Amino acid sequence: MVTTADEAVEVFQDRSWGVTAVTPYLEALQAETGEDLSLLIEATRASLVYQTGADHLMTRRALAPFLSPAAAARWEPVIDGHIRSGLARLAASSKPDLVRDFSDPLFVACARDLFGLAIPDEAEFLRHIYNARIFTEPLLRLRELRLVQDAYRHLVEAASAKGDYPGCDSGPAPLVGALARSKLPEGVNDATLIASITVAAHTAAESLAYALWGLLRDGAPTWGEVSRPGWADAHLEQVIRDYPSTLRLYRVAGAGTALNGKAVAAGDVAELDIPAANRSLCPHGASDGGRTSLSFGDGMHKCPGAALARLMMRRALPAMAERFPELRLDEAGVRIERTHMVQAPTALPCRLAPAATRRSARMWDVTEAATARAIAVDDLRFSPPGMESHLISLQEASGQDLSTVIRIARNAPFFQSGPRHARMRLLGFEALGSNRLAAWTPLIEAEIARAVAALEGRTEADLVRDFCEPLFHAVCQPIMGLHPRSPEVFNQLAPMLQEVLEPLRSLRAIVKVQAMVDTLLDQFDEPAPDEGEQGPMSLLSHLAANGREEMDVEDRKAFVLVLYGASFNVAHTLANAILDLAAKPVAERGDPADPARIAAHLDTRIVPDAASPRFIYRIARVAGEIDGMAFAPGDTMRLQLAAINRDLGAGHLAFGHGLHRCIGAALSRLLIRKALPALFSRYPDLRLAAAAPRYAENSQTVILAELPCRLH
Amino acid sequence: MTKPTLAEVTDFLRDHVSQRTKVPPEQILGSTVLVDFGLESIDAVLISGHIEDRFQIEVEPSLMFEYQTLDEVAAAVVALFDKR
Repeated sequence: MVTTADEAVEVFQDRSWGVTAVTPYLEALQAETGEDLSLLIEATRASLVYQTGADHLMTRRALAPFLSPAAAARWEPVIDGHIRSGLARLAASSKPDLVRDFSDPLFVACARDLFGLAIPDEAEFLRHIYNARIFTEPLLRLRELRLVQDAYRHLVEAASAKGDYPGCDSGPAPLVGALARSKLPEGVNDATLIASITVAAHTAAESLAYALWGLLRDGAPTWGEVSRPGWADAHLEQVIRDYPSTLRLYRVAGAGTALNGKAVAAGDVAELDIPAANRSLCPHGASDGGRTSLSFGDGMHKCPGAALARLMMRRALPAMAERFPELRLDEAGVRIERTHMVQAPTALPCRLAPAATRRSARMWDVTEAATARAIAVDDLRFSPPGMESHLISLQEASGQDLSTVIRIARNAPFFQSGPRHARMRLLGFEALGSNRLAAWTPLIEAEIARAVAALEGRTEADLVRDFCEPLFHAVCQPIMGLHPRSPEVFNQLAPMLQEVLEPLRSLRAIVKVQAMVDTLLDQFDEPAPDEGEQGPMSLLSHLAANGREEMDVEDRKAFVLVLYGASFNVAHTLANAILDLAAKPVAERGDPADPARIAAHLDTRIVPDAASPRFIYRIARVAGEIDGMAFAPGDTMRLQLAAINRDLGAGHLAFGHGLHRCIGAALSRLLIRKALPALFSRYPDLRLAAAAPRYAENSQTVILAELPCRLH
Repeated sequence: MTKPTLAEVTDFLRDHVSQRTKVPPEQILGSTVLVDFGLESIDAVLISGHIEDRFQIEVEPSLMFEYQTLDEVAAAVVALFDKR
């Protein structure tokens, strides 16, 4: 066992040590078993890893003009181009992974352009590479050898297909072209040689991935420096030393010799532990030979691709650090495969942007889906905004009477915690949950049919004013139990209810909202006990019958008004969903007239993309930390739903999650699920009119002010 | 209302931050990070209300948190006059 750099160098440079004789081993295996291993035998004859003597020297000479540092440098622009497209691919991926979306595709692109292989199918090509690369593992079983041989067959084909080589006219000639003009040992054809070099070259992609892991693990303490000018010159060799993907190399003594003063007999095997040898160089940095690592080996069989591997790392690491300065690993998802011979990441899931960024002294914007979901359900560490206590202390400090908005906050589930919230939530779900909604479904279907029919005979319509709003009024007001004395006044003022959500309103704005809430509360009453409502029991009636203990009549009315204000999101989300569909060419809409298709995509695509709430707010009850970012008690966590819902898809937070999950979720989903097919089956060619849709000015909600559409 | 000087706004702010946080005005420097003195949401709403009354300009309470120090908040208030 060789564990120091000096001993390893001694072995590498002592000619009596040679590589393991794999070719004769395979020939004996073939003779013994009758298994046809001819292609594999040919591959070992062509491979620098297993060649010896004159053949090895001739092959190295044939490759030198292509693999020398000067030759490698000429590929820099091509490699930079592939790095850029790799970074773009990462940015576009919803679940980015540095191996799947960057280092492996970069390797494939380089194999295509630099080596000249024809690679029509990236995934299939990588499968062959992953199968072939196990060949260096000791004592493979016969079925594994068959697997490797089959992989080599495809790779040799890829290397033999004389495709046209992009960049051939201006840039350097790819390896396939370069080899055609050079002399190879007897029985070695260039396609097999290139196939074996390509398999070995995958180690460069593994080293790049392993270096990324090394630089990004434990919170990526040094990642910020990697994008600084001169980083590669100062640190690349140290990264190659500390994160070698090669674990072990073997040498066999061809004749008696000595190692570190001890006698070695012919046939003795030296197992070189590369990480250990590298660590032995750590204290003094460069040892006598100016060597900082043995990751590329040394002596006759030194890695021929070292220059290209270094170039790829030197260009890729700083480019990634510059493009994604906040890049972090999803450490729980990291998979590093350690075989006998190599160590390499097989999965490096990551986040390209920070989970949360500080927006102001007291506010964080949380954009990372898993972090946001964890906050949304963590009622111990985070609470809803304490609007009620804020307004009470504001009233005391300012002397301004804020009793109405305090009552609103006291009866808004999204501002409450604990027993009061639990009771309100139960009452709300009893009145608006799925089973009660079953009784409301006939009304909902009738109102949808009426709203669609109201568009009859028109070629154009504003589907906010002419469809979503009237439908929303006709469905939500009866379900809530709101029968305003003057619908015009009520419907005109009610949208301002949505401003209650805006955080940190000025006293002036709060007083203005309060006056409007007073007017709205005066617009409706609880139904008298004997005055039975026809149809299912509304929320207001349900509260009157079941909520008297916790809420007086003003509280009950306030609770209904709050939920009505929140339910505007149904109208806005429906309008956004119509826009998403109408903006697409008819052929790409996936048939929105079909209720089954709409139902299937409701939570995977339609709601996450169209949901109108921009944020969920949570207040830190205690100090804590997200991905190394410390927050203080009282800090506000603003969950950015657009980015989060896009990443989460079916698990979206459009209706929140956990204790504070939206009470109106079932109603929203029912209405949208039925309204979209009804509208699009009546108007299949519905599309946007010339005028672009116009959004209302609202910082908390995505509200379409106008959605002009052509119906035919 | 004519545009106030930076000094005027800074002094006015310093007094009100002092009243709300009970920190003596002389300890509230231009470079003081207001949150470090425990400035809460309610303080931001009240102080911005006082600024509105005194300088006759609309000020959103969140401004007190978007900027960190006394000088920065004062400068942001003065800048509102240019936007008017």
